Amino acid sequence: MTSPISTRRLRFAAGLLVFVMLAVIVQAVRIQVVEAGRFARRAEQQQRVARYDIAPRGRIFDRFGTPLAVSRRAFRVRLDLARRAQVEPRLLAERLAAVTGVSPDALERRIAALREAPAPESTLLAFALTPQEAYNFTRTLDVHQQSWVVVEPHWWRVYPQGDIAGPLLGIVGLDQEGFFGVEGFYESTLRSRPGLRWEHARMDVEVISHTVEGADLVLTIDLDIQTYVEKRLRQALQDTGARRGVILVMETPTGAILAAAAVPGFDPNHAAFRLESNTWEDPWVSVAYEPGSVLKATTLAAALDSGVITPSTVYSDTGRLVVKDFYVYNANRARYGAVTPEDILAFSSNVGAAQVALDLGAERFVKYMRRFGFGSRTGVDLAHEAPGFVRTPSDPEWRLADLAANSYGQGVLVTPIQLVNAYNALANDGLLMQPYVAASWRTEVGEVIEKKPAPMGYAVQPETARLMRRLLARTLERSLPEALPPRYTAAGKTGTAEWFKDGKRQETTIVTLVGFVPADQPRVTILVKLDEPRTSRWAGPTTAPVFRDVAAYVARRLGIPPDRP
Amino acid sequence: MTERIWRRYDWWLLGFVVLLIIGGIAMIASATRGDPVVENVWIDQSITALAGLVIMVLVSAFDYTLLKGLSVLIYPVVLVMLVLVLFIGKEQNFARRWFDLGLFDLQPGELAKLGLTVTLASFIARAHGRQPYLITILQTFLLVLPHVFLILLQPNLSTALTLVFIWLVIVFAGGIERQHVLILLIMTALIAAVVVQLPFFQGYQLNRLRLLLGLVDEPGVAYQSEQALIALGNGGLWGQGYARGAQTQLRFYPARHTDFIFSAIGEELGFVGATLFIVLLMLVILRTLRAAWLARDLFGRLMCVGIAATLYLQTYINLGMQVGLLPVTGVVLPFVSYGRSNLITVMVAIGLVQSVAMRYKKLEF
Repeated sequence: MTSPISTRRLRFAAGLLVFVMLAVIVQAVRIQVVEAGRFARRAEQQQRVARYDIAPRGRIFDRFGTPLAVSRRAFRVRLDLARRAQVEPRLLAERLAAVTGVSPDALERRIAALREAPAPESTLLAFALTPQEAYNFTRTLDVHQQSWVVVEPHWWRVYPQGDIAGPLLGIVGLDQEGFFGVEGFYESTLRSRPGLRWEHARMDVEVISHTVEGADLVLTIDLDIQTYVEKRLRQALQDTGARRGVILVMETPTGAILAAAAVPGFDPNHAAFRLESNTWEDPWVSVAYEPGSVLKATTLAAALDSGVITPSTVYSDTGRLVVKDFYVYNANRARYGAVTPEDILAFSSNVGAAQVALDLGAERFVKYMRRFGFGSRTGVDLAHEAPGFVRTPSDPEWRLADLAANSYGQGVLVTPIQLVNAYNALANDGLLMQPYVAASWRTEVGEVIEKKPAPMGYAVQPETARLMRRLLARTLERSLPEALPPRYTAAGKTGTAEWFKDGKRQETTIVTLVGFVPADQPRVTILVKLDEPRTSRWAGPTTAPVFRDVAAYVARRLGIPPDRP
Repeated sequence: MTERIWRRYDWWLLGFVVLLIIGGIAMIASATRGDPVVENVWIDQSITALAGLVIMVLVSAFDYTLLKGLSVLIYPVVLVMLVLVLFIGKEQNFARRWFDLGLFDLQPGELAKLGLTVTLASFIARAHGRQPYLITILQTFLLVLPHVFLILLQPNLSTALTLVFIWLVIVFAGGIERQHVLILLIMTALIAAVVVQLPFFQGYQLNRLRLLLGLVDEPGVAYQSEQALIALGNGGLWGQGYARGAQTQLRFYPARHTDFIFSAIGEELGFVGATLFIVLLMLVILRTLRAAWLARDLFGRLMCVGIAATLYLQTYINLGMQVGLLPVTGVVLPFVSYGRSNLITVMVAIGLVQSVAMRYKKLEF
């Protein structure tokens, strides 16, 4: 062979190659045999991952099991802080925008800001993505780009009924924490608890704490009534030009709330992003106001119950009453002459009511106000309940004029829930109930806890309550027959209140009508309140048609037998 | 006649190559399990391997001596492709290295390794005996230079260095004498100096080098090689079991089915399995050297030496990187890592080796 490369050289080359390759093998021995334990420990450390598993928040149903709030499995996208230096904000923003609909510029700014922030509070970029959207998003990224973000499952609150009962239900924030209404009040019941576990190598899982799903709530709300009442209230706002309004429907014997409508309300599906606003407050429990003449009913009930007056007691209404340096007038400066308790209610005589209260005396008046639940929270299971305000004689600022004004609902602050509950006591033979919206809840172990109606004590004796029902029935018959639902009797009282803003008396009014049907054996108590009606400043013409329609609908819906031709 | 030739087919070489490819496919499948983006690449690799097997057999049936004449064509064709890829190649990670041919990505850098091996072997074989060897060395250096330059422009440092290495080995095997060694060393040092000076030498490559020398602690690069080491070490002597390597299955390190497949092998099959792969790779290279030894002419011999050098260098760079001896570069493990372009290229090369081995003594009878 004349070839320049000899067999010897080839042998030498082969030997050299094998020898050099031995370096790799020696290194492999070092890593895999000698120091294997050290590397295995590091692997173990890495693989042992603390994992939180999130469970869904409890669902909310109406009294017949129709879902009002449920939790849907969704995905959210977070920026991975460990890899953020490699992130290309524009590219990621565009890919995210394609599935979220958020503007790519805003997303880019957020991503760029997160890239620079030393310790950002939240790395959230997108949430509430459907599994399909999350899949579509990750598919647009290559393996390298996928490491920029963490796509993880979370639970997303969905309100299938949209804006119906929105303010009643409240809202849930991004971290599934409830605020306002039922969500806020029952936060500790509805919330789920994340489970913690250590995940070791090879699917070896050590559970530290179990995942606990939130308990489901069944409300006393009747979705049909709720839906109708909201529709009727919206109509009322249109008809009267009122700025806002609320309607409460309470089941008389139990104090359970069948419907609670507030217009304008909101759709809790879209509310979580705008938490700063105070629109989410529950107008039935958070807002106390001067209710006006509706309080004459409790004033007279107190006087009758304590024996200060009888139904035939006659007062003289001269159109003006002087209480030290305070003057009491009737609306429109009317004079009604000799008036019985029934007349005081029917005419809505301030002068008469004030005289009754003065005869009753401050101590007893305030005692009855308390018995009716005014001046303290009812304990209804809704978040942010306000106590209202009743000035007592022990208050240094108390004057006799306060007693006179309070008798017809001025100088006193009450919430709609207090008002409907006080009237409900009259409807319920004098027994004051604690109002409630949650009928039962199922705990994580499947146990169903039923809420029992909670009596709060008698506001007045049953006879007094029965007497008051007759008087209030006569009041509607005489002064406001258009409030009577067809074929049903009803009892109730209106109130037209002036209101003050920044210490200045406003031209507009707040009007209320509270009552119950049927008048003799009431099944439901209804409150209608409208703020600043424009077509009339008086409660009668503005609230009567609403009360009538709601009462008629509820009576039919509950199958109450008609008691009037 | 034909029968005789096939009797000399190197069945051992075929067996080792097939074992490596099957082992590779199995590990690709394990390393990509449950990763929706690459879950099915093992099927892809299997199809490529089958096609490669057919091509390999066809190439070995083809008389390699014909290539000697063809090499005049091969060189300019590869050169044109290297120029074109700079303009119409697919860009990824700031480098233009391949053409997107739809069916597969064609990487001219891969072709250049084999092309240059054939060209250099044929050039030296033809020049043999006609001129002083020193002249041949200088001429081949000029042949290599444009390739290296164009590949550095992509930029792709590891392929450029591989070409220099192939040239060194073939020139060495072509009949080098002692006094030439110094010249070769100077030339190599010259190229190395140019490479390090020019901006072709990317920042990340410097970082990787510095990291390996323990000079810096770059988190991104350190993470990769650190994780690969942990996976390897976690395998221990016998491994965690196929498809049960936690570091691999939980995707703690990147490129598990390509550059870092040896870490998957090491974790799941242990030191024993990893060594088996190394031994198989060495056996393929030694069988290639055997073909060089048997070759009936200088062209065949040098070609086999060049192919052995290429395979060895790729294997060594890849393994060295995974055991922490060498910096992290994008070099795949021949026959084992996923990659259509690379697998086809090495199988064509083995076909050529077979072609040489089968025809070692034409006039035997």
